[in-house]
Amino acid sequence: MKKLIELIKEQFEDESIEITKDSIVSNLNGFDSLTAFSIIDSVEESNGFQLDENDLNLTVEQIYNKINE
Amino acid sequence: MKKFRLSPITKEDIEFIYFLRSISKDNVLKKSNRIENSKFLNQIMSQGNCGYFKYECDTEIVGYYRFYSVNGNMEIGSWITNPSSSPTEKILFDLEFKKQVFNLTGQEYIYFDVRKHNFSVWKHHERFGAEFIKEDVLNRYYKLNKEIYNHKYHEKIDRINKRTV
Repeated sequence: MKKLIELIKEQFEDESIEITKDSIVSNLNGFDSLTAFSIIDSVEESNGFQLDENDLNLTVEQIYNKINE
Repeated sequence: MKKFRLSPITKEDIEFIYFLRSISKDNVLKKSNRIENSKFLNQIMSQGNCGYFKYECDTEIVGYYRFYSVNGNMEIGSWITNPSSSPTEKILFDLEFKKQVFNLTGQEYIYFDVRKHNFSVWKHHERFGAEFIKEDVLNRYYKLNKEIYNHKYHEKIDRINKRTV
């Protein structure tokens, strides 16, 4: 989970952005379509798991569970 | 399977370009009014091979992009996308457009600048091999090498294409 949060955090400009397991990724401040792509691409690069764009409307915990199902 | 198409703009695109600019959050793209926009695009199109392209996914326009020569250097800019297109479609547009510019111009480098506050945009370009040159108060300046770009393109394109099916 910590690794996933760090990976998501890296895609945002604000280094102090607070991301928890309950954060909905698409609601995070600074989120846009390019951030969405970066997150999807980074997850696929590091986990080999292909997230759907709609998955970014889930919480970090839900995304984590999906990746590790 | 979705069909993508990159083609030069026509007069029919003028209004939609204006519309996308007018709803853009980016003030840089917003500044032109309808008449200025039309005059500018008509002028570009009258020059023959205008370098202004649109990208379509099936029947929907994903966005517009332009390349032009400045002091012998090939620059790209005016990238604007349709808010209803998916993130992956927008990225594919950027990737295919840059590939097209390298192919059409034979240049080794493409140059561009990005507003400093557009973090996600310049981070995206860096992700695909853009090399940071310098910055000033407003912008970050980049160059993109053809060989580095082609490597990144081939490394990622199949994977990205799979997401659009």
